[in-house]
Amino acid sequence: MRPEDAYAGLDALIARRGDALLATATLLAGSRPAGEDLLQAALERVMRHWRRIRDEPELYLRRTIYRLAVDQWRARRRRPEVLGKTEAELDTASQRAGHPDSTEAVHLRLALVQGLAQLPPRQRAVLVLRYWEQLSESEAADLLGCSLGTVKSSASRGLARLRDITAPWAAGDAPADMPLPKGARS
Amino acid sequence: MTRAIEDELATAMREQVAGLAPAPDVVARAVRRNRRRARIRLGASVTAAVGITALAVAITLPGAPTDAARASRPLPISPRARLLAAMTTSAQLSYRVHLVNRSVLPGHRMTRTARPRDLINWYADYTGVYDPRTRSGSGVNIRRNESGTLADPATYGQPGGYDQVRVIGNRYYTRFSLTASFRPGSSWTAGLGSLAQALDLNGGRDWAPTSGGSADPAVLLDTVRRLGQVRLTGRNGSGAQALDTYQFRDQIAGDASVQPHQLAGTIVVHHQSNLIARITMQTTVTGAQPQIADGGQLTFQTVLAFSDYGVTVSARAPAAVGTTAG
Repeated sequence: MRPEDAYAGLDALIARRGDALLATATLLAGSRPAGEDLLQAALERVMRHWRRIRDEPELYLRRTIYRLAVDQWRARRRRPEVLGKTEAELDTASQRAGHPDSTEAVHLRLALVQGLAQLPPRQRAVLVLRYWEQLSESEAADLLGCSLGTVKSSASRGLARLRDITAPWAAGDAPADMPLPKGARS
Repeated sequence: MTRAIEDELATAMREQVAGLAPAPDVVARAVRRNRRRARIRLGASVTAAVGITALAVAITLPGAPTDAARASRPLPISPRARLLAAMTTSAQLSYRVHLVNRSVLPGHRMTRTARPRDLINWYADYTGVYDPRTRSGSGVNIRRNESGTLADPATYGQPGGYDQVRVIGNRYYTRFSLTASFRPGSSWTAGLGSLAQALDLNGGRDWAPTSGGSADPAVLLDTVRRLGQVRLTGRNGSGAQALDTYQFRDQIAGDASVQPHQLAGTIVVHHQSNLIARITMQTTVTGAQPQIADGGQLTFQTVLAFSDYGVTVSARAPAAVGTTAG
């Protein structure tokens, strides 16, 4: 039996849910390469406990991705790289999503994603769980293994920080020449 | 801005990750890395055993002899016997130790076109004190950034975080901080084991026990006995500054995971006081079945420098422990 065959269930899971899992890891880690690193690290963890968890691999894998993002990534101080989509790519993405937006809206979302990547890992994880995965506060607390109060305070602080960052848009004086994220092609 | 920030954030996140898909071989790569990690853990058990032996060897003979007394006393039969004598007859002294432990992927290519270079994938840098009589100690570990990542190369080797460590008997306690100062009242993690487990020597990256890392003198003595070859290679300096250098080599048998390999290193001893000054050791392992796992090599390096023999050690278990390591 090839070594990969021992984890045939994981192959099937990645084939079925790999896109969503990589998306989550990318949002948590701050860039696609770092997200791939995070997904890879989580897969390795899952393999170590495969016999015990193979009945519910997705739950365990998702939990591991989040906990690695909060704990190990913080411990190693892998500072998130800022997501590197360009304005043009964002325009394309928003058109694909069916809502072409103004340049101002595109800039606002760039600022939000930049701000998200700069948040402390737990705040970032809570916001990804709440607004990307659309989980409730108690579901997020369960997945992160922390209290409901921690989730509430992390979400509140994270959103407050993002509001600070995007205050110019709320005030109607958004910067006309917003700097692109590090690594973005102009 | 007319929409709520929560809505804008959700939209921004959806747009940022639209169209992402994992590489087709992501599981296969994880399998390979998982196997490499298994080899790291095997090497860790070997190197940790010798590393902790080194800590125990750093014990002086009672009543360090004068030059005249030394001259009139017959030398031990062999260098190994001298080290064993130091182990078995020594008075137990406290000491300060600086330990640097790294695992390295030699000549590794990050991409097909990149030039091969040594990648550090584990880097611990610990300074602390330890008293074998009370089996207690404390110190701080600097987690230096690894180079086997996608991070900015300028950050490699720079401090990436700090662990405050206490070892009390057969338990250890650690807590993490991003800076060199630790917030009073921040929570500690406890676990069973010694410094080897507390520091996860050689890249044992979770809290599973690392075999061979015992602080029990009997275990350490046994490890010294098992060292294959020890020889005195020279003396540098004179008088109180004289240092004797021993070299040791030990053949480690292969198994299903790694091929047979050699552990080698040096032990530097203060000639006059018979106290250990520095120990350096290194081993390189290769997978036993490179056709299944990857065929690369892994090198484990440990350097220990000892000083301040007799230092006061007053480490105590923390009052409040937040979590217990598995």
